[in-house]
Amino acid sequence: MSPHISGHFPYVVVLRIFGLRMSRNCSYNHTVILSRVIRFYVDGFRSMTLGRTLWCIILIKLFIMFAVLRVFFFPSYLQGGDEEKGEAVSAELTERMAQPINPR
Amino acid sequence: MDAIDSSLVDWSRAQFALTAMYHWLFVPLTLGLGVVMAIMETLYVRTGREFWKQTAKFWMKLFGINFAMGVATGIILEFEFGTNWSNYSWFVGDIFGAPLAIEGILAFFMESTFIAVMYFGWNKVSKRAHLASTWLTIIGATISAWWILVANAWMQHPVGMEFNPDTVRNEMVDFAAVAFSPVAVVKFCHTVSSSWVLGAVFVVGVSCWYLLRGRHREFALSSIRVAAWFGLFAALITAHTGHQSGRDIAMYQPMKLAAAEGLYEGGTEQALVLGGLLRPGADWTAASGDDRFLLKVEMPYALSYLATHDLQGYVPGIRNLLEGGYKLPDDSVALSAEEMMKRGRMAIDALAQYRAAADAETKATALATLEENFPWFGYGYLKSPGELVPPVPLTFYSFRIMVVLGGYFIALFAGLLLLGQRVTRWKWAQLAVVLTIPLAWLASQAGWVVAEVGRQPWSIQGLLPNVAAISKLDVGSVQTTFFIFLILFTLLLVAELGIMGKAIAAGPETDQTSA
Repeated sequence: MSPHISGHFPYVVVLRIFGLRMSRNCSYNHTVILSRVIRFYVDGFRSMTLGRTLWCIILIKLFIMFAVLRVFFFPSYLQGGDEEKGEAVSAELTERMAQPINPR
Repeated sequence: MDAIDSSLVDWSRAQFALTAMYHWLFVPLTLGLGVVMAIMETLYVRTGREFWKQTAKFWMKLFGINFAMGVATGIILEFEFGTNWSNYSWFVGDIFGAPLAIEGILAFFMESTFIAVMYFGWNKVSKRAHLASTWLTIIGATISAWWILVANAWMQHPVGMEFNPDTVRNEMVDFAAVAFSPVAVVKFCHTVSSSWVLGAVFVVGVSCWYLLRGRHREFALSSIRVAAWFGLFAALITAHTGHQSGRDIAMYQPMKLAAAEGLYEGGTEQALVLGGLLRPGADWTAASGDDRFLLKVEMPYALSYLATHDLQGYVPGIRNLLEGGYKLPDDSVALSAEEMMKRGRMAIDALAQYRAAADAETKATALATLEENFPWFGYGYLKSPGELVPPVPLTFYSFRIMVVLGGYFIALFAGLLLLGQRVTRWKWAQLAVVLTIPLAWLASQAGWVVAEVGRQPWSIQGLLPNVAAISKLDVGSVQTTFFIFLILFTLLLVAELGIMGKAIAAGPETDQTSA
């Protein structure tokens, strides 16, 4: 790692996660900009006050939605490939056709 | 056939309605308050006064609380589509999926990108860049609303698609027709402008609370001035787009209009019911009967004019819509409900024959019958014409609540602008404005009820009623999820009210000396 970018270490790690790297060539400016963007977000999150509570609520809510409700209470009703799903819906739509019971 | 339990239809509807109505508590405040805070920040950038910056920051804080509570509550609706409304989800195919996907990818990412700059960017980006981010946040949220409302408008007035009997799906053939359908455009303008009204009512209400408590006088008066102008502008647009929406309903969903007006027997030169009391227990599907109103106040000719732009215009009532026989705007004769149900059954039968056919000739004959009768496809699931009549009292009263409150909001904003600083002397007026805050939500929810209850029994107007759209689930499981949502959303609402209340009590940092 270049000495003049060693202060960016936490951001370099994040950039690496996304498959980006810092170098001495022309991509340096590009990565520095990205690094500043990441720093912007990291600093923003660190300086939150009320936002921390709100993020906790959001994360709990998303956990309940995706890890509990979606998994245990909302499985996809139609199973299989598109052809099987089409067959199933076709059968349902045909079977549910009404026979009139009274004029009004 | 295995009959669908009517309680399954009712509980599936109740579950979806509960989810949508709770979601709709948060969304209009996001759309409305977002514009108010952006206007405040624009004033800061134009004048350079720190006061406006602090004012904008305060409203942004409340916006953030509401945004955090409301974000992702709409995702549950998508879960429900896959589990409880599987036939519907498959039947609508990509038409419904495309707008929702665009909403998720484009609008939501735009919104969430710029919201970070809006909250984290004070003193880190230039004033103008920050202002642009604030506006882009709310524009992103509004574009989100556009795509959701495009999907909803398609259900009210399906256009731009063709039904493919091989896949049993509707396939989009004209994206522009779907995205810019007149119903979608009017629905978007009406919904968004009414959300602006709600945001403006919230701002003037909170500001009047400060006046009542003798706190933050300059902040409150400045916020009232900005929000009242904005609210008045929005309320007038809402009234205008409401009128346009009424014309769309008259054209594409005449049963909804008849229910909203309590119009059993239609005709020319129809009067508009300004207010009235329906006879409890009146049978709106009976062929005849007593007057269905206990009392009513009417404006002569107004309904004909509003529906057709002609004082002599013909407006069908519930009986006319069920019996048919009247002349339509294109000079054709309206079919009776019985006839449409018969054609619907022919279409469904033809679909079954098409899919079962082994030879090309049978397939072609079945396809021709299906295509000829497809506009009435959904009517084939109805057992009796009476099923076409939505709950009249709920639609009628919700419509009047919405309209009366809409008129009240116009008077409120105009009154606040006329009063100016004199509002500080009238405690009763301040209290009235504070008490108006929940009425903004009542009007918003009433509008939702008119739009969605008024179109019953349809999931997709004319093509798919609820009884065909729902999944064949155990009623108990739908009831379970209904109560889970009720508890979950109520907790969220209580949390929002608590956090919002604390933030309001803490107040802005504009003029602490007056606190």
